[in-house]
Amino acid sequence: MIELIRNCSHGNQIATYLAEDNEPGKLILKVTTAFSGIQALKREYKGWDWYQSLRYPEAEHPFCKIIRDKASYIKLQIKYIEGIIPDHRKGLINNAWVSDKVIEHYCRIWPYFKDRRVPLHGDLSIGNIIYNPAFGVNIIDWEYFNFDGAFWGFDALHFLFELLWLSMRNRKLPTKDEVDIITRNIRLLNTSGWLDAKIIKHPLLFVRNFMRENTKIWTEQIKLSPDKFPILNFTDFQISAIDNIIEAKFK
Amino acid sequence: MMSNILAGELSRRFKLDESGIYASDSEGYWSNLSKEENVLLLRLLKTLSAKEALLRLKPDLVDIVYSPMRDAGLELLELNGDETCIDYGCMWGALTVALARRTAFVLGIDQTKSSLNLLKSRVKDENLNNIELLCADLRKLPVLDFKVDIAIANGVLEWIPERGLIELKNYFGKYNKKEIQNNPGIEQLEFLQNAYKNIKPAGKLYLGIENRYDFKMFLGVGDPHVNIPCVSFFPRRLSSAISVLLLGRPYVNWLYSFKGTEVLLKKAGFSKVDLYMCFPDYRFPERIIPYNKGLDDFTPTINLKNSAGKITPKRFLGRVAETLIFKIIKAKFLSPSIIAIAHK
Repeated sequence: MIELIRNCSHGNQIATYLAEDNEPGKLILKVTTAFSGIQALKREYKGWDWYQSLRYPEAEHPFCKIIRDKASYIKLQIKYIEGIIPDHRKGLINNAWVSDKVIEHYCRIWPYFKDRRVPLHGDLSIGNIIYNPAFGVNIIDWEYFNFDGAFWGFDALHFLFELLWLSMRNRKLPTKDEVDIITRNIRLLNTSGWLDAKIIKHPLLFVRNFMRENTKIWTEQIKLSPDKFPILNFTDFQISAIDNIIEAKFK
Repeated sequence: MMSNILAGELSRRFKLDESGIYASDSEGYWSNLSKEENVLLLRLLKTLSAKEALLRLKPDLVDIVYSPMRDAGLELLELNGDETCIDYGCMWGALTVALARRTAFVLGIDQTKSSLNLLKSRVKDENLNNIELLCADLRKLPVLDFKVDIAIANGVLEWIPERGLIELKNYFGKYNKKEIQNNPGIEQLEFLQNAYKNIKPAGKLYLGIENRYDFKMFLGVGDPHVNIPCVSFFPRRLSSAISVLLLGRPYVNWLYSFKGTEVLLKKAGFSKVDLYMCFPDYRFPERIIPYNKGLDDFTPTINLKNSAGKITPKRFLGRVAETLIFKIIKAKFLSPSIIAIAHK
């Protein structure tokens, strides 16, 4: 039997189902008949293909398949991942273990190209992480995937600052402990030396400006559901203050 | 190929009018729009697309016709793409178009010609060539020689026993003296039996309807068809007496519980019925959960904020009640709406 678990949430036009009694085990099905939804699911298919080829290059069966592909209807089948979906309401401090693991995962998986952009997840947030003690971090929901989408580190920084925004709620500035976690993770991200020095100086400003300058990646959803992109809600004052605190910590 | 056979039968039995819609001799009227508004809509359709015309005339109805949320239940049918289908009471085609995108052929049937005109215009806008439309009263439909794989009755069964012209905004909760002698339950059963006969041996019927014991009805919210509180779950005779007193007409929009829906469908001939709970309703579902599975993973669906982004006391109470009844008590028989997939 099939269960509808999400329907056109956050302004997208995709219905998501859980199919439990199938032969290969539990499956996630994603369906849309809308043009923007079809584009998103085609990106998601490419994203899974790219991500799984890095994680499990030897795997015989694809993790994600397009099982219906008509002019105005597409259906995607994705293997169900068992594990914990961390709760963003617990804040950054209680989710520090997740952010450590996600940043470590990003550093291990994401390729670096000296002279061009790297693949973009585009919505790397705590809600799109499933953690399984046996298999580690799994990144899901690749609807904004783009092969040469962003500078190296964008998705990881997006993850950290979105979590920080959700953790700060109505506070203007983060606590010392929150800044410590962010700084620690940026340091971890920088162990490869691939993070641009300008970005280390103004990480939040870089992430916010990249999103503003590349809105076409998220256009539809920014219009329909601005709450989905909390980083765009940071004020200039907050961005400047947070970047200054992080920079001071680095020194 | 199969669709050609059905189209052949349609042209044999019904007359194709100048707008490309098959006409029977049993036209009726049930619409969210008044007759005058529909005349205006037809005029707009001469120069505008269906969506533009609707936006110009009634922007609040655009979502009812075009929202991608509406067709989420169709996946429960596990379609393979080759099916032929009938959409009973298709109206403006919220499910007809979605079904045509997924399958080989759809026949949309509705008693209101002007609704079909809008749908026809939409079919042209979207370049769909696998939809035919028939204007007919669902109570007077003949059994077709050609049998379909899928039949849809979404928000239709409860309206089957109604009589006469219905302009919803002048009818819902309004005094409108009318005598209806027939037994609503028998008419609903006859409709389902007719649908059963039009389905192939391995075919399925998709039924979407409100739950008779929807928790909101117990909180004083009016019945969604007559806007009188409690009549959906009161004994039928008492509900009818209340409706005659307040609206001048008997209560005929009978709803069913989960068990009642299953019993009715089996009485109509279906061998197996899969039941699903829909939240917050079956028209714009956010969650559809198999009735047998229960509510262990339930998360509330009533949005605290209204369209203006404000938290209202009514929404707040609804959310609290939804959380209490479904997340804590797990009283699944009080779910707002039902989708039933009935197997022949």
